Amino acid sequence: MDTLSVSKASRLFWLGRYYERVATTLAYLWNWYDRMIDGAPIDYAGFCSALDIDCSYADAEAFMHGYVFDGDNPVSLRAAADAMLGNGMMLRETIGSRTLAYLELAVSAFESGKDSVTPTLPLQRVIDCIMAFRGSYDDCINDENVRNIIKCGAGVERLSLYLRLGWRMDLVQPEVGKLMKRMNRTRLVPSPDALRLLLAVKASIPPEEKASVLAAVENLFKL
Amino acid sequence: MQELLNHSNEINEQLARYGVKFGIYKDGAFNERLFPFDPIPRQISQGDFKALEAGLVQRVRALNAFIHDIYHEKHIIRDGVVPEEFVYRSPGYLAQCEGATPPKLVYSHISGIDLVLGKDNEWYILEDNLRIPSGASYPLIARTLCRRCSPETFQKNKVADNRNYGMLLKRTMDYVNAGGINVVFTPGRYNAAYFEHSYLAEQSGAVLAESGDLFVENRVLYYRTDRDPVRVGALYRRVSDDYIDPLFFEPSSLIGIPNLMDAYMAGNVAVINAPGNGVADDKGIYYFVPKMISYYLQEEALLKNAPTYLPYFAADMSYVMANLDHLVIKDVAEAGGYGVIFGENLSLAQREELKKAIQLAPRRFIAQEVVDFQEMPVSEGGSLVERKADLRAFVLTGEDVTVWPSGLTRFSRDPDSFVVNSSQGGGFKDTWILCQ
Repeated sequence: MDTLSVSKASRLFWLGRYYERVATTLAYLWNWYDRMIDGAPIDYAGFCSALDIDCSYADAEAFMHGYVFDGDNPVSLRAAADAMLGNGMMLRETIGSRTLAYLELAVSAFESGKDSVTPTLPLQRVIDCIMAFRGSYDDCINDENVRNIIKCGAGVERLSLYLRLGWRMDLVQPEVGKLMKRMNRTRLVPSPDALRLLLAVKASIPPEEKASVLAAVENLFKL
Repeated sequence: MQELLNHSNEINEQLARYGVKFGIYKDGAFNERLFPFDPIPRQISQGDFKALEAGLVQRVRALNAFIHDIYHEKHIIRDGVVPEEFVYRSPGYLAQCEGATPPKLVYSHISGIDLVLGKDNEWYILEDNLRIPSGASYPLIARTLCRRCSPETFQKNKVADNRNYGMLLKRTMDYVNAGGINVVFTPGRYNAAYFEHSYLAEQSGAVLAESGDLFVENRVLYYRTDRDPVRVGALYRRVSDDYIDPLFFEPSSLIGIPNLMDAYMAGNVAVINAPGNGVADDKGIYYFVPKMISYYLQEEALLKNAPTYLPYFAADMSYVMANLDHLVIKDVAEAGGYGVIFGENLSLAQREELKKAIQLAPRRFIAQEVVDFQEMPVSEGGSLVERKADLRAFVLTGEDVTVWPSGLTRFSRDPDSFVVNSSQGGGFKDTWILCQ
C-alpha cells in the first residue's frame, strides 16, 4: 500500500533521528575514549551545554558511562538506542523483520558494553549494526516515501548535532542540500518559514545566525 | 534431535536477534522478556494429526454454530441443551451483539484450542479460545530460525511446513473482507503480545494500526493516512471486547475505535474474531461443547473434554464437595493460568473456604479431574528433564475450516507445576507434524 498513517510517518521520522543520534554522537565521542587513556581532559560540560542537557556527572568517566550506557538516563545514547528500537518495533511490517533485526543487534551490543572494560569494542558493533540497518532499509524498502522519511529524520538529526557541536558551515551546508533532496521525495509538508531560511543557508554565516538555522532545522517538520 | 540441541545457543541468539519477546506487567511495571524456547519439538505423526484435525474442525464448526444461535434464535437454550444461566450470566455474553451477523457468518475466524495428551495416549481438550488467541507467531518464527541453525535436522526429518500461517491468515481475512484493506489492530507497543501483532501483520501483508490510525464515518471504518482515508474491510483486532469501542463497551477505553460496532453491525467491516465470542469459550460453556456438537452437527464429539463437573448441577456439587482434594477448580472469570486451584495443594482450612465459595456462587466455578498428561523432555542446563506441556492448535475458519499443521507447545519450567502459560513463566516448543 503506498499510503502511510500519520503516526507511522512520525515513527519513521523519529526512527531516523534516533539512529543518527546514536551513530553520529558515538563517532564524535570515539576519540574521547582514546584521549582518556592518556588522562587528557575532555570537555563534557561544554558538550552537555551544546546539547542543552543536564550535566550532573561527577567526572569525565562518570559522564562517559552515564551518558553513553545508562538507559535510565533519558538523554543517554542508550535511551536513544532504546527509542530507536521502540520506533522500529512499531514499524515491523513497514520496514521488515530482517531490517529490524539490525536494531535489535545494536541494542544488544549496547547492553553488552555496559560493564565491559573495553567499551569501544561493543560500541563499534553498535555503529556497525546501525550502518547495516541503513543499508538494509535502503535496499529492502521499495516505497520511496518510506525510505526518504527515515532519511529526513536522520538528516534533521545530523544537522542538529553538527550545528550544536560546532561543525564548520562548509560541512553543514551540503547536509542541508541532501536533506532538501530527500524531503522532495516524500509527502512530508515542511514549515514554510523554516524551509525558506534553510534554503538560504550559505557556506559561511556569522556565528550569531547559527541559532536561527538550528531552530529552522528543529522546526522544519511537525512530527 | 541431538543436532538441534547442539545448536541451542545459535537458535537462542537468532530468537534474540528477531526480538521474539513477550511482555509482562509486574508490580505496575512493564518488562519484555525473551520467550524461553526449547529446541526439542513436540512431534505428532501424520495419522494422529489427521485424527486431531477432524476433531478440531468438528469442534470449531459447532462453536461457530453456537455463537450464531445464541445471538439470534437461541434454539439450543429453548431446547434445554444449555441452561440460559450459562449464557446470559457469562461475562463473555454481550447483549450489544444480539442480532449481529458478521460477514459470511464466520464468528471464530482464528480459534486457539488447548489440548493435552493423556498418559492413555488420548488427546483431551482443556479449553477453547475464541476471542483473541495468541501464540501462532512463536512456532512460526522458531521453525524458520531452527531450519537456519540446523538444516541437517530438517533434511533427516520430513516435517510439514508450518511457514504458511501468514498466507492462511491472509486467506481468512480476504474471505470475510467487506471491501477495503486488511488491518491488524493492536492496543500498542506495551501489550504482552506486541511482537506477535507486528509479526503477523508483516507475514500476512496487513497494515498494523492502533486506535489513532482508525476512525469510523458513516458506519464505515477507515485507516487515516497522509493521503485520503483508506477503507478497512477486515480488522484482525488484538484488543479485547471490553475495549474495542468506547461508545458501546467500556467508556474509559483509550485503545478502542469509537463507533466500530456501528460499522460492524452494518456489515461494513469484518471484525476478527467477532465481538461476543466469549460466550462460547467460557469455562462453564466448555462442559456443553460435546452436547453442541451433537445438537448442531448430529455427530459424536471426536475429541474428549477433560472430565468436568459443574457445581451448578446438584449431583456435580455433591461430587465436588466430596472429592475436592483431588480435583482442579477453575474460576470461570479468570484466564492466563490464573484462578486455577489444585485441591491437593490446599490446607484443610483453605479447602473448607473454597467449598464455601463454590456453594455461594456455583456458576462461578468448574471442577475437573486432573488429567494425568504426558510430560515432555526439556533441555535444562545441559541435561534433559521432564516437564508438563500442552498444545495450542490453531484453527482458521474462512471458506473452509483449516487446522494449521503445527501449533504452540507450551511447557512448565517448574517441575511441580501444571501451569504452562507464558505469563506464569512457561516456555515454548515448536510442534512438528511429521509427513510420514
